[in-house]
Amino acid sequence: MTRKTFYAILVSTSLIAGCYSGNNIDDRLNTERMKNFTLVASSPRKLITSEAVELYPSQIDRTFGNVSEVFLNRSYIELNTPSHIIIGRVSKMKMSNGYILILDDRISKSAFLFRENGDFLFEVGVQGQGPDEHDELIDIEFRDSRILLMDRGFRVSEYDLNNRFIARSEIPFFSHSMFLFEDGKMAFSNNTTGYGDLNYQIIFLEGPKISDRFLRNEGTAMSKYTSQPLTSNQSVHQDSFLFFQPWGVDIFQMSGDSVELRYKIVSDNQVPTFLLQEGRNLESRQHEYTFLFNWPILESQKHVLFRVLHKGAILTLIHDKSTNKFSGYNGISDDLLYGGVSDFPIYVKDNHFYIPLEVEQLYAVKKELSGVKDKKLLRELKSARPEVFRLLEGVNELSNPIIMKCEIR
Amino acid sequence: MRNSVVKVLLLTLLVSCEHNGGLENKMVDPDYLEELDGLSILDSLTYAFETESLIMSAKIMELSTGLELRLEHLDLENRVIGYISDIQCSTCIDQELELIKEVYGKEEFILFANYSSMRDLKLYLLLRDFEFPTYMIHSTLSNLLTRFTNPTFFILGGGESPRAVFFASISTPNRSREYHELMAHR
Repeated sequence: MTRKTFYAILVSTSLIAGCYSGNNIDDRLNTERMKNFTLVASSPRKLITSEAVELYPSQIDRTFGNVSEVFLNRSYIELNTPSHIIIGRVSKMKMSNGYILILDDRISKSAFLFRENGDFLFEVGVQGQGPDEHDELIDIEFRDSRILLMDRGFRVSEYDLNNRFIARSEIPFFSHSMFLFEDGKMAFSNNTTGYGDLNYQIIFLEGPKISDRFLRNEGTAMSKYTSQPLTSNQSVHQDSFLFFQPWGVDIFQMSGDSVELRYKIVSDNQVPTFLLQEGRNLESRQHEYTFLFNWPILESQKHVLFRVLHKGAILTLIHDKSTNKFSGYNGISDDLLYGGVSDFPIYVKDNHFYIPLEVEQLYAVKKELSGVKDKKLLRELKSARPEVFRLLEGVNELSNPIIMKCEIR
Repeated sequence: MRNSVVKVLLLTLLVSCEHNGGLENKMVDPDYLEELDGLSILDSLTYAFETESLIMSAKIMELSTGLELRLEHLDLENRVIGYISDIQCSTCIDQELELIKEVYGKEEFILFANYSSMRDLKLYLLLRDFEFPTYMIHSTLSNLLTRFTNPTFFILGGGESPRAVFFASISTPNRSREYHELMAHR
């Protein structure tokens, strides 16, 4: 064994040990927190499987998609903020009643409210440890005319559209994603471990009552990796949401009283149960299996977009519901903005999909174009890609993200 | 002196924890056992890093100017070096940046950063009013350093091998403070 290999093993060991150590501490915290909640027997849910669409990844042709061909009717939302407000990344976004709510969970670690045209309204709430403050945001949501922020402190804070703090609810588990039913119940994806009966992916919460749970884990280790977002497009799903189990092959739509299996990936190399139970080798062996990859499932009236890891490759799939055909993409190539679009959409509302653009890449393009001295060439470029040049006008090194709104072909 | 500062610090902490635990409670706190495990791993990592030389000819980029230079051109003597990256927990980084601003003078500390986006790094530091000299580095400087998933601190002190290595953790802010204060007043 070389010295470098030895060190690499040491680093890996420490990472694993670090993760497990952290989880164990979380488990105890969760157990303590559970004392404030009451487990209520779950009601049986009707599971509908008759309409499920089967998908065979190995039979799908893949291509590298071009932005200009895949994303049509493009328009752009520039997020205009005062100079002291800086948005690093759009990690999540939600839209409702003419508003856009943006979460930047990495750079500014805050949530921001905009009008639908990109005009800034306010940074939601105040960051901090105080009773009316939020700390380390994880998820955002609208409910009626209220804004909800979920943070790492096991709290969901509510604000009104004037940025007034309204209320705070405690949640029992660490969660990455929430959904709010019209009757006030909340659903959370849950990655709790080590609390006996509570290794479920979806938790319903009604005040202090944990009422309905669904999909018990096959192995407790599996829940350590739950981070799948619960997604919903109200015009398509009404009062329900889409989700999938970590390392799973099924996409479900869950309402208050039923669960519908929408998609089933048919593959002979699903993640085996023993590996889910064992847990720790999952990540290192993930390339051997086929499963739904961690990406929001986005459904419009016409399309469903989701992502699969298949034989070591990440495959983005778009299902055309009218023709029942799947398009498979190994990636997306930005033939329009020279790199401004680096990935598929992260959000859908009605029939429109939304993609945050890479401002850094746009700025690099702007700098490069500013060095072009051939005026004729510049004129040709400008007339060939007028939308790019319009966008570039407002871009600088530290500009806020720009969101591309589009439809899918 | 090699590694002694950190080791003395860790040993003191261990002895102190054990002493207090023994007086108050014969039951072994599981958190304490986890911490012991963590410390022994960190000690191994420290040893590994201290026996690896940094590549002094590696190119680095000054964040504020975008200028490229080589590590050997920096005056690193008497400065504590911090390392952060975008694969590290950002809460851990926030904790350390606040401590650095509080404890060190402008001439006492420099930051190495390995971020895939220079814009993200600039915004991150701007929003936190972090004004210490910062350099973008890559794995060519140290393959091991750029794999560390915790903010890491060390000194070079004239040589190429890191010394007084410290791995910061969000769960032990007091240990971070002790380290930085010790290094600032060494």
